[in-house]
Amino acid sequence: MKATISLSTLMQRAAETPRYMTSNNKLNPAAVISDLLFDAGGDFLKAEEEKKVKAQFAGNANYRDLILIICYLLHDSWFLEKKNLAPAMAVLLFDEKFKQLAGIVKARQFITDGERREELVRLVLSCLSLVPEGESEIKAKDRLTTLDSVERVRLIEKTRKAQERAKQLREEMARREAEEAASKMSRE
Amino acid sequence: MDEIIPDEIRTRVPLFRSEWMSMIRKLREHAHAPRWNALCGDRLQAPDLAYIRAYGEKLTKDRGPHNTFPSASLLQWIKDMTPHSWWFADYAGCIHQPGGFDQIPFMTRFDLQTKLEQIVPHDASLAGLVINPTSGTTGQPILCPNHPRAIGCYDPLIQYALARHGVKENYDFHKVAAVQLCCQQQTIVYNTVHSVLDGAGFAKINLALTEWKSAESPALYIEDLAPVFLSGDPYAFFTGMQLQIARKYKPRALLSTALNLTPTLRAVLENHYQCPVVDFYSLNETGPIAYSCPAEPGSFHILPADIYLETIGSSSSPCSTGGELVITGGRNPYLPLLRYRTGDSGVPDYTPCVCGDPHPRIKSLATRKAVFFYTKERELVNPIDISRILKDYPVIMHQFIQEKNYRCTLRLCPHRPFTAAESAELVSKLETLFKHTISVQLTFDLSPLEKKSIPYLCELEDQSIAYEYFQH
Repeated sequence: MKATISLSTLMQRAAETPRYMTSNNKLNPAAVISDLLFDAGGDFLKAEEEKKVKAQFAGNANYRDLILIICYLLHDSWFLEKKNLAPAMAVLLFDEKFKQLAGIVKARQFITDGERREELVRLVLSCLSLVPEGESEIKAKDRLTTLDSVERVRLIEKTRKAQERAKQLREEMARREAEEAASKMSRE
Repeated sequence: MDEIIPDEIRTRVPLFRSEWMSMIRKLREHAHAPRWNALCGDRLQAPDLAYIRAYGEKLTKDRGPHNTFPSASLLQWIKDMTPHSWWFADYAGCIHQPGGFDQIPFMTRFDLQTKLEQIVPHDASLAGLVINPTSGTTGQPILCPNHPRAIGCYDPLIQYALARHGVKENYDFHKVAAVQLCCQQQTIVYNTVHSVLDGAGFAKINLALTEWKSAESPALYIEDLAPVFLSGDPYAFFTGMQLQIARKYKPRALLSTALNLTPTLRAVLENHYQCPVVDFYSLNETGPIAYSCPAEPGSFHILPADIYLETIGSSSSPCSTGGELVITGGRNPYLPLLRYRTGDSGVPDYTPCVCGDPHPRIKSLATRKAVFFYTKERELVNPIDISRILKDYPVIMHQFIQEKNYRCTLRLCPHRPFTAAESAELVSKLETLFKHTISVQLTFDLSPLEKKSIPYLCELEDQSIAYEYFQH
């Protein structure tokens, strides 16, 4: 990872995401992505890639909105001036983890909620192998783990399943304890 | 014509064959049979039987020296278990690094009591689950989920240990394989047959004289059944000796379990019963671990090949010169053990043994010593009866102490606060056990941090023969 842009600058930019970037059915996400990649030094999307983008967001407006917020964030001149981030951006924009994230957090929250905003900025930087200015890799990773919504939901789900299983196991063991065991010729 | 198999037997011994009924009748309807109070069977289905037979063959054939490091197959077993057990997923990740096994945190008795759902595979169907009661002599009673298939493996493991002591027997429904002797105020007593041994009979009996028609009955019953071997704890064998159960009948072996067998008592038992005494080291959580060496009875050969044994020192790091015994592996599908601290200690010995078993030995094995309490009239009280009473209460750990003046204190670490009624009831049950000759005080000051606390302590200065046999 390389030292880069300050976290507060990017968080400020995320907070200023224009209203028209989200909940806007008229906006063509493929065109927005294509422009971003071109401005970052890459190529426009090809026709078949545009079709793929369209199919990817069909019926998943929250996912589309999240990717558009990320596009706006990455359209900062600091990223564009690097002129070598387009390939990494293309990978990032199709990364499965953002689809997962969109499945559990409303896209607007990444603009309005401070913690979610920080999570998004850190996640985007991490996908580009960058760390916020003035932070070590370890600190950046730790902070991202703390904010990780997908991990939090996974833990909540794991805890819920563990509680359910504990209850099932307790009840089953109490029931089986009341019954006879299996015969064995030695005891402990 | 085939006999009709009663449902009560068919459900408990699914592979029961009609010709085995003669054995059931022999065990059950004998003129001197005890008052049966339970029904029990091996619960094995045909695939279980095939598994156990294959396990028995493997036990004999694949007997090679153990490594002092975890084998590739053990490491693979841990990796295979990781997607199924949350405990393994949380703690076994480091196994992928070189030397990572030593970094895996230990599993303890407390974990089995409080985090069992983390350990039991979360995707395992609980349909085959059985709970075998434990005598509770460790002071931390644990309910261990188990499977008939894993319990069925006790038979080949026991037979292997007996064979090492020269007892090789072909079993069928004409023979009684074993009678298990217990001696306590109350316990379940039942008779059954084992499918693994082709319908050979087995009876669990209680030598407490209230269970029998007459004082002569235990000896007459056992004499007539003539079981191949007797199993039980040292105290039960000692009581059997006093009841003269081996006047005419001689068992081919005694299989001693549950409590430490002192060299003095071993010699007395061997002399009295005129047969080898096989000391069997087995825990409810792990199943059989080791058996006493026929050439050097004070040391124990590791019995199964599907467990990995380590010893850890006082700093909880592996220590080849001895320490607490730690087990990984096993065959219980509901309780995969990952560096499980047994609470017992010993010294591993990987040098070849003159008896010929290539499996390593545990020397200086320190397990649970027999402790007995007394009423003021000097009648013995078995601590197993105290454990039995405590099973009905929300107790994580206990320590029962009898002082020099006979007064007793029961220290508890409860799951939840006791109600006043529960406390009074428990004290009353214990004082009844001591025939109302002593008072019992209850305290709730035992901490789970006192992991090494001794569950039973008797401070009476006893010069009886029992003391001599069980303590030295």
